[in-house]
Amino acid sequence: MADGIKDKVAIIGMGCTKFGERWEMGSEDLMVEAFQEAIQDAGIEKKDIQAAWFGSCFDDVNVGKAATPLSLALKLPFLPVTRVENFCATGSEALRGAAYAVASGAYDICLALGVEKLKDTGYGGLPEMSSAMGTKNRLIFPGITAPGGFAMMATRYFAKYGISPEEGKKILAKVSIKSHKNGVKNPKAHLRREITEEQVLKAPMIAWPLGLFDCCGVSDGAAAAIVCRADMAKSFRPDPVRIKAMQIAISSGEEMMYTDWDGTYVETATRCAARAYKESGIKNPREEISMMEVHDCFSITELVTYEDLQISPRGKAGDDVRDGFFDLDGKIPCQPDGGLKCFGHPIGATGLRMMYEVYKQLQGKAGERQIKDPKMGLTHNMGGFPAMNLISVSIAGL
Amino acid sequence: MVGITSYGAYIPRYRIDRGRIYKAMGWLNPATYMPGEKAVANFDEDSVSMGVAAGIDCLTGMNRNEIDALFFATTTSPYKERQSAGIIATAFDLRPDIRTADFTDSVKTGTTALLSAYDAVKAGSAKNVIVCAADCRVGKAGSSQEEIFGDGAASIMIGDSGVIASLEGSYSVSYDFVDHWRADGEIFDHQWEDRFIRDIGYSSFIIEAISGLAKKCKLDVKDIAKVAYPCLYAGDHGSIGKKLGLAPAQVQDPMLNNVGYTGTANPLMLLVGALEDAKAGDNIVVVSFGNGSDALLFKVTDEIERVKGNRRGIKKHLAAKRELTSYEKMISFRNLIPVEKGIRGEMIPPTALSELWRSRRQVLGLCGSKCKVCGTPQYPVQKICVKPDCGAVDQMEDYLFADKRGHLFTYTGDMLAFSINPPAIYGIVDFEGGGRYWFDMTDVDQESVKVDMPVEMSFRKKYIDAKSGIHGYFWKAIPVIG
Amino acid sequence: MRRIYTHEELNKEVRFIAGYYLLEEEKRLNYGEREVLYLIGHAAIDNSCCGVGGCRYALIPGYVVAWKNKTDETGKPVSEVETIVDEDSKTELAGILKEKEAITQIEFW
Repeated sequence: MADGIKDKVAIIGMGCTKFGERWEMGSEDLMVEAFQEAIQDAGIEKKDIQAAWFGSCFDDVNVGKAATPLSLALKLPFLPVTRVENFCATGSEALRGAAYAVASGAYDICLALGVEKLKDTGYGGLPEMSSAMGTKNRLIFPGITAPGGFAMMATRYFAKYGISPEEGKKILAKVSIKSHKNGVKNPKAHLRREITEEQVLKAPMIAWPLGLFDCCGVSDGAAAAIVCRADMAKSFRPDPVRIKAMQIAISSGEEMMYTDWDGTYVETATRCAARAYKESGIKNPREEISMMEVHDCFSITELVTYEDLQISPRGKAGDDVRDGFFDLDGKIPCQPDGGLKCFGHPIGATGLRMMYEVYKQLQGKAGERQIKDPKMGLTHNMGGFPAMNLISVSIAGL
Repeated sequence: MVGITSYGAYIPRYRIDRGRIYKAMGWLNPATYMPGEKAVANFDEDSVSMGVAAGIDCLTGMNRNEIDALFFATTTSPYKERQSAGIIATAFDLRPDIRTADFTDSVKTGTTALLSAYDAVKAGSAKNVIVCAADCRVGKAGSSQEEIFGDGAASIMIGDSGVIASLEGSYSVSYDFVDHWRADGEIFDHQWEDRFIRDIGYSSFIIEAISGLAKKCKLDVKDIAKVAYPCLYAGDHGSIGKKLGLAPAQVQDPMLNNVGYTGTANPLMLLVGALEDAKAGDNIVVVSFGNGSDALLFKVTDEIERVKGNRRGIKKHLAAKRELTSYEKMISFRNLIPVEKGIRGEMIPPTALSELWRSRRQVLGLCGSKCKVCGTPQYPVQKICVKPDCGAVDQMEDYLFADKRGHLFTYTGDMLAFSINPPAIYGIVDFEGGGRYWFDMTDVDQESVKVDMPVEMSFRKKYIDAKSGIHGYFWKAIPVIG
Repeated sequence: MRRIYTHEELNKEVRFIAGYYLLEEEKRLNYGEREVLYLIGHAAIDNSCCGVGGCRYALIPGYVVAWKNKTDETGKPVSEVETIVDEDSKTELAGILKEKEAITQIEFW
């Protein structure tokens, strides 16, 4: 009987580049920077690594497809390397691949590395989506963008819970303000600037009802993790971080084509979180989770995620936001590193960047942003639109 | 008895005040001024999409499976080679064992298609033929065509049972009369002198055709309830009627003032306008103009009451209007000025034509599937039922969504998605009777969209891949008309 | 609803990860018996993960109830406004501003 991944794998080293418009850096430079930090942190050498998982999404427009970009950049000695891609949760997928390989007993030590270099396209933003959707969908999909996809959830959410547009804007503003406040304390963040509610409310709309400040940006960046068998982790360092759960859930088409889903939550996230809590043995997430890094591509996503993760009751996340529940000094600090709002979203790297913060926080090495005595950290990484998506939820603890 | 068994029309929702055009371009040719407004196809409309819209109106309450032929008349086909009638037949989800043909190259061919439909039914080679006519003609900036030409479509069903107006006779004249012309590859018409067109063209051929028809059918013009004929010039339109001895009440309003001159569709739109007000026993004459003229005499039957008021026709479409407040938008909609689309906006992924062939009924016909086990309609067609507790495999039957209404489950207006008419508005539609999918929306303002508003589906141009010469069509959600 | 409007320094770029905006002018418009406060700004969405865009826009906090009658804790002047909720007034004001100003987006508080 399968019993999940809990406590079978530990993270013994992590690296993360500064995120931002790294005009002077190519993908290879970013990969090497993240990798060097990770192996130095783990106290291992390249030759100790037995296999690697490489995450990149749209970066195939930059460095190309397959696993060769990683192997060539790091000069991995003819190692088994797998490239993974799963939309915006690509980074989490790389980590999952490496962790499962160790958990299977096939390897002792593996590398997971994600990178995205988006600033070589000649325009802001991700490449046009429809070409990535398959030959049939491009004939029938609407001309949808990510903010639009999430705005449609905001519209439903506000309508269901009777939240006026003004009130809604204010709640979303608070979500964003909190993350920016944290990002100021993080030297690796792309944007380090506090914002005020007044500033948020004076910005124009991007996709009704989401404004400029509700949306995340594009960055270049890379992040890496070294994982090993949990029983050997303490031989590398005194404070390895153990993986407690790693779950992923993908839409079945039900939300988009069947009429039961009410559009105010993310079905996959709800299911994925329940599975992750079961795997990790968490009974009461609101009490047991110490901190979270969630996929705040848009403020509404973060708000709804609080509910999908069973932290806030349905329709009540706004109350927790107003109470400062998710602030750095709140009960469950969320986005202590600044989140996507301050890091931007180099797709292949994002999931690993989230885990990097969890890892540092659990080890008590988060500097100015350090949360008091965290026990259990959670990452939530999302790809696609609320109506059709994939969600990865990972939980880690000491 | 063979004749009209149903009718429909389409007028695009956008209307522009001609004063706006004059204010923009009147400085160049100050004589181009014309009063009134004209209908302007939205950026995602063309002759094919408007032909589909008129045809859907005409198909209201009719059995699509009993149609044996579809004829489409236009001078503005999106393709030089790929039959527009074939695209339209797929959009109607008609049977494949039918005859389709495009009638083109003259604005007269709307009535010619009608006569061919009549001949086919009369000869017994078809029971029911649907004729669609649409035009979306453009004029150069500052030209009088720019002021006169309007966009629109009409559709007439010809059959031998349930006839609402029988065809009593026709008279045609054909002349290689070159008043205007457009060579292969050209976008704009060339035109000879106005006086020549008026005096030698309209005034003589239309009168010749009507007189010929009257003589052939032994008809006194006094016994005609309505004569519907086109004319580029409002003043001359009236004087043609006078020359024929028609009282003003006998002349069908040519809609120059509120729609504009709609080319091939024009005579058929006027015919639909006449039928909307007709009563049993009325004689209606419809006449076309272009390299000659066709004149057709219809006699209205009691059956007219079956159709009257059940179509949007001319009246309801005229009423469903939104003002287009920008001349620049009008010419951008027709791609007459190069506009900056950005690198992303210019990126159009290639169309897999083998995929389009496989999925043609789903894409062009908006045909989905319905699970025979649990009865859940779903779009696009699924092999495995999407209903969570069903999941039946290969138990699907065809299910048409194109004719279903729905309500807007959610929506947004998106400033980042490229659109020639931003913001790009799209949403998720829950269909009456079941089924959900997401669609672009069109013919709406951000301010007027509301959660749960009723919507219907409209066949539109989704994209133009100019590099590959592909016009991609699909369905969009629009607010329910009327 | 009455709200406090804080007068920020104009023509100062407010940057955010997906782009920036800048408020150019604060204007008052006589509308019926009352005075409407509106702002003209422009925004560039030049680094969003999802596309490129931007706009010049009008933001309408509402009817002026009290003009710069107080200061906030940081010393910035504040006014009191009453948000505009009547849909007909919104439509009419939007029409007036679209004619008067070079803008492509109008938002009411």
